[in-house]
Amino acid sequence: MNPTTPILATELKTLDPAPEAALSADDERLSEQLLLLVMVLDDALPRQHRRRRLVLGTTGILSAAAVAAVLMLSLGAPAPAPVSNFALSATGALGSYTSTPVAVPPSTADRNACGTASSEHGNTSEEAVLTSEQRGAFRAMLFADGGGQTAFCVIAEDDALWISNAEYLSTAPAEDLHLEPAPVADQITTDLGRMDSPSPEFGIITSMSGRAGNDVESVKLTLGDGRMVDATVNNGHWAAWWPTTLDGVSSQPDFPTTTTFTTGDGAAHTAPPLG
Amino acid sequence: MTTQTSVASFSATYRQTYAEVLRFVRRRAHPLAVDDIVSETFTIAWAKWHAVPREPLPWLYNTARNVMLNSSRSSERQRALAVRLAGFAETFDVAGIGPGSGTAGATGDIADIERRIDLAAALTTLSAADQEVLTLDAWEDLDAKAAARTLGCSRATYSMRLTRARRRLATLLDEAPKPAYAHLVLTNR
Repeated sequence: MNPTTPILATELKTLDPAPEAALSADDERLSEQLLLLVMVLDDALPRQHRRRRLVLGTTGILSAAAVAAVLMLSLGAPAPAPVSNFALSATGALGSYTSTPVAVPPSTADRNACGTASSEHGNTSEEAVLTSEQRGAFRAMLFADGGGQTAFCVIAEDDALWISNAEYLSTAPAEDLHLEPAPVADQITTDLGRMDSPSPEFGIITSMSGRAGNDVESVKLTLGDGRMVDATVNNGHWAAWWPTTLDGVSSQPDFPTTTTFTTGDGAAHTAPPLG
Repeated sequence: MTTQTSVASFSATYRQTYAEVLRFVRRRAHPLAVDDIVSETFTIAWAKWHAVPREPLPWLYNTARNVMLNSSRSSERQRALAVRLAGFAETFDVAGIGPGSGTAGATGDIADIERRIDLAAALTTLSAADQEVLTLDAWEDLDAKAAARTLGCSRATYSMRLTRARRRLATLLDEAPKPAYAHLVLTNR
């Protein structure tokens, strides 16, 4: 250990801008008012409104009456627009797609469909399902084999329409597809894939997936054309997919421009840009 | 669901930790933003009361830190919080020197002042991440586990960051010109 360490720590205390442990009278009063605010607002406001309004409302000293006025106004305010589903007029088969997924348990039939599609590329391993979701008529799973290699599979009815990485499961060097190390609790990692369906009516989709730290609760993607897609987060992983809107091979507008995620403490984070 | 038990336990924890959370934020945030950040922190704590650990302070610090990071207006999200340093008056008060202290002799006063100027200059030369880990160690009375939770990293990562930051600070102090007035940046509360 550096012999100067204890001395430095002691000296750094002299630079502390808030050395006083005791609260001033003003601090005490504000403390009690804030406690009241937190409790009152919790009972009266929808949670997604509460934090923002509390931040706005506690600049300075607020009375309980003022809080009540804020509550009355806020209860009448319009709710934020929900993330809307979108349909692709050019590819009507994808019309039921939803940008917000519903978690569903992986069925044996779906696992078999993906397994069969993988087997066509030479993969015969047992897959562990990491995420399983439904968007309209489409189910999707992110799965890994025993070696920690991943693939993403989208199913409709009983067929796997798209499957990513399947061809690599048996041919790529293992280190190319091994799962990335789990990130720290409040971070995510990102992989991007683009898949062409063997069925012309379904065309091309883009998928994203990655690891999610233990504290990550949700992941949202904002695409270059303005669409927003919510990901499924489960088992320390996240995954999402969406249809392309144009000739997806050459155009970039449906790649995400921003990936945001929230952690258990309610904080919103922005993931590093791709590449 | 709000119950009398949760209200009572939250209120008790709130009163036990408010002063420390307030100081934590005052050490890092603009004075005009302090109340809002503390308010946001405890609002999140109440909303997620079921998930707040029995030792709440590191969780509260981490939440306050996230609130401060999120409030940054920079286009690229910060990964570490800048810290504020005591102004001259506070520094001298803590050191027990300066007008009215009636303590150390003049020679000792000047040596202490120069040392603190060098220390402040060296600290502000370091990266925000180094400043954050050093001041967290020096100002908050946390063990390594709690400090790591505050920063949202593993204990091993925290220890490694602290060791490296201490080494860099010691190196800067060894190399510091005397005095380093030209580089000194101190903030007023």
